[in-house]
Amino acid sequence: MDTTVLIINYFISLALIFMNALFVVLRKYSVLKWFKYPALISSGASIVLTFLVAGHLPIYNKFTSLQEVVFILIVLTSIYTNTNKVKVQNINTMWFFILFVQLYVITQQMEPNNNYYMYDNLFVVLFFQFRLISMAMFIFALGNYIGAFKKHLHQDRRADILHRARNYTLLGAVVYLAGEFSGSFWLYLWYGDSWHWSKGFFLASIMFLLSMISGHLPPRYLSGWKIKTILSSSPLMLITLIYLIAH
Amino acid sequence: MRFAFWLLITIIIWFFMGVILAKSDTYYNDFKSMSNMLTIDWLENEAINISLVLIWFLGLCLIAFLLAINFIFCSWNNLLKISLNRKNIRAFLLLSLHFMFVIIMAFHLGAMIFGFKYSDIELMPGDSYSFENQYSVKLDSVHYTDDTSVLKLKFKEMRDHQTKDKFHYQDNYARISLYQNEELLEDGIMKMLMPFHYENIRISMIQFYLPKKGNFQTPGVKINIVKDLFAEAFFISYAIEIVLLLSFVIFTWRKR
Repeated sequence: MDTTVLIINYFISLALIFMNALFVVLRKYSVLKWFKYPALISSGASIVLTFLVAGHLPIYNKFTSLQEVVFILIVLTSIYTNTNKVKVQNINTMWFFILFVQLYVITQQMEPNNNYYMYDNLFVVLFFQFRLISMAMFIFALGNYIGAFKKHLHQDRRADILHRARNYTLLGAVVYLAGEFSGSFWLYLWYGDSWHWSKGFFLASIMFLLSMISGHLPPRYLSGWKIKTILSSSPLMLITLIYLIAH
Repeated sequence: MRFAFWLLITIIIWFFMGVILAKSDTYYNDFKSMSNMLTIDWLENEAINISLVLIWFLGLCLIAFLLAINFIFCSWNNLLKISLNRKNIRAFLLLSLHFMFVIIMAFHLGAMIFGFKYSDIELMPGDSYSFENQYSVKLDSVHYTDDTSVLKLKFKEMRDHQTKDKFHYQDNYARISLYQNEELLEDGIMKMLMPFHYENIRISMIQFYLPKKGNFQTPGVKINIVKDLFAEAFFISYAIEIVLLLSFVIFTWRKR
């Protein structure tokens, strides 16, 4: 099995995700309810195929890691998609974010990285896996924050969406911190100390601190939901950009 | 809360400046030398020539100090009173995770000041390296089973070649001895990701290497020697912080 299989699977996932996004635009929610599963299976298959082709889980390499992020996003979206039409509509904007991430993969070199000998170390695996799971959670939270801006949304429904966004921001921060802990221990085993003054360390700190901003907003910004939502979602947008571009 | 918010924004901007500095060719080496020794030792050396990285570091210290002051006042005026008045687990967790964060930062600070750190020491079999308190480490032998020509490559190329099937890090090791006042304290082996320990001293193998000049059959090793008194406490408090934060998320998951 070689990289071609991964590329073919990537384009199949892309087509399926595009179809789901199209159903959202066309408001075909009953089709969307079932059509998400092929996309879920295809993006999940990318993780298995990465393991079969490269011999390791998605690690470091953006081509494989972002597809795992997409898989987790579809899982989270599916959890909150149920038979209630109103709830389905509230979560369905996530498909545009999923499509964006999947499309972003095209800008990357389409091959997995080699099987570096450290990739079977538990802390190395946990560091990369926790980081990409947290990124999926941050993007999911961001999608919810932006979804709260939909017009004609009932106040209670908006409050639910904003609380969900807050929950996934915090859960993302926990998972991110668990990843940093693993990375720190990896460095401790390799270099004897738990952190270095480096670009990677500064970016990692920035991403964690950004995830903490929504929990530290001054009281005067908490009264109006719009300003609170903008101030809570902007750091997540920055985290996503850092992960996609700078990191 | 307002002060904490703006401090958070400030420290994020400060770290962004750190990223820009660390990316530049001019300052990259300053950060590297900062990582290669205890920060306090680096400060002693750097105090002579005032560099941009030194100014950046002192700014970071100031922000961290203000954050600590803010935490003390915030804990006393808000978090502690809320915890005591409401007596609910949510408030208690909020206080605990902030408190634990300060503890972690304190261990960070401790690691910058106490102990010692010697980096990138190159040893060939039979070589010794002496360091403070009359300690010395001797590389007794190296057992290396893979292709040594890879070790002459540059770091990135070497990384591309050291795949699981070509580099067997569990089979390759170095035997070392640690002495103090020429008296053997302990000897043993170290492998990649499996350091040698003696009390709080860790001797870690960064990589195997071959000197560029000369025709050597057996490689040597590059090592770091670190004495970090707070490492274990740091990791334990870090793990507790994660558990506390996770507990807070669980207890506040449902909307009130």
